[in-house]
Amino acid sequence: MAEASEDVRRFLPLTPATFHILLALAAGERHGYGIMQEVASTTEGQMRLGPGTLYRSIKQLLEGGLIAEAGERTDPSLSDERRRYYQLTDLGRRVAQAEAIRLSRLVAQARERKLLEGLGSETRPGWEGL
Amino acid sequence: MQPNVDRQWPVALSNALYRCLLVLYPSAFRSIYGAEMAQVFRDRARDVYRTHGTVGILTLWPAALHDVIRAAVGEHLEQERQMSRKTLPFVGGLVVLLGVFLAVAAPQALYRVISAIGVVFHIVAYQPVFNLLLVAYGFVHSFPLALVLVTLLFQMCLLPLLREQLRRARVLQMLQPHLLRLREQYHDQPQALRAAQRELYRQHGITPGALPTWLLLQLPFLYVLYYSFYTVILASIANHGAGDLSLINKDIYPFLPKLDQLPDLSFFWTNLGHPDPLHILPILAAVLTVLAILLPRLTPLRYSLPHRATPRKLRSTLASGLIQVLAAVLTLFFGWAFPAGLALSWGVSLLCAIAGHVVLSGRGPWS
Repeated sequence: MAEASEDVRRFLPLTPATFHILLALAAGERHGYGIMQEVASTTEGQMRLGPGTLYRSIKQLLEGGLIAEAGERTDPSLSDERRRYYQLTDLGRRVAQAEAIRLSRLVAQARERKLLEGLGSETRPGWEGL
Repeated sequence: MQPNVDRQWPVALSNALYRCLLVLYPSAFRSIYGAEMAQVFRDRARDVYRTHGTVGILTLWPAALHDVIRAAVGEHLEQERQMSRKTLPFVGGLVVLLGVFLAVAAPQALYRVISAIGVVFHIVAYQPVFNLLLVAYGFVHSFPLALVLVTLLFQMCLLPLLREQLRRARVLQMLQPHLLRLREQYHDQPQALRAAQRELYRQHGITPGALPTWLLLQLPFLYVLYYSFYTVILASIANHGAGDLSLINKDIYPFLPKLDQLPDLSFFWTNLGHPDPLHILPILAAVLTVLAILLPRLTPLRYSLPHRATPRKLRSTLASGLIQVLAAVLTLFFGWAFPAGLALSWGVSLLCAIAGHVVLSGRGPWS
């Protein structure tokens, strides 16, 4: 785990909304509604970004150079309207990585202090991956 | 399948409502992301309607309202912050200076400043217009006609401004493809984009900064005209309705002849010194207001175009719809409550602007 460089560190810590957006884009380009669906499904519906929060975060991420526009095209699974797609930049990938490392260290500390013991076995496997 | 869902009234109504709510965002943000936000909301409304029907749409709204208000307020604050970084030292300095001045010199100095502004207004604005009005009255011997003539004169002075506004609009329209190309070329360098846009405008003789718009210049003029007109009204109702000619004569320049009787303010069915009893003039003025604003190029033109082509249509329809309703309501309100002379002058101004627009925009004999 190398220390994050200065250009990455100044973005940390990320807000939950921006981190979720970066995570959603880590798997590939998505349009706004695609990001919203991805975030909702990975959090099992617990986090739903409204359009306002979503696009305020997108604006900040674009300005910070963490994401970039990836052109406009239609999404065959939705309708024939054109949609603007967004993609992770190299910087965005490194920032998301640094944030994930930061969070995993927090979780490791929680585990050290035995906060995660006694949880139901169904939640355990999810944590093991960190 | 999708168009059918869109036509269901819960979905259609929600989409329309959501687009209206976009007005709450700062215009710069809305012009870039407004259309995309509306698209995302529509996608979600479609999906929810398909799985949960009308009830689903209803449960969508509390979260949507919360999101709009939170994001709009946040974005406004963010813009304030960015703005204040540039202007704060300047504004702060002014406030401190003013505070020191007031603490040291208040309150007599404040009183003097306000009365000095009053004296300057009296000499620079009120007296010239008032005397012009009476000179016109001396020629035509009809006060309503004098009011119309002074209004016409002022509008003629504004014709060059109207012409410049129209020229700008034409040039901007012509430059639209260039601007779009620049935007593609510099899509990740906002500063370089702005510099390139400025250069393009300069080459085509458009100076930066907004022109004072036609509508904006009307307000001070109407105010001064009304102020002058009000002196005549006051004079005619002084002494319990008997009238007092000296109230008029004291403001006439010494080298101009004084009046020897009060002007007659009656105008067809109404008296210009009172609100129109039939409300015909205010209603006409309100209709003309809407007409004038509908003429697209009469409304303020922006120096820089919004960043993207598609959301622009959305924004301008939203904004102009609101402005029309607001302007019409204001006109009706003032026309209803104030002396009819005000509505008459406003109506004549609007007619001039509409005529000027039609002639200058290339459909008339002068173009």
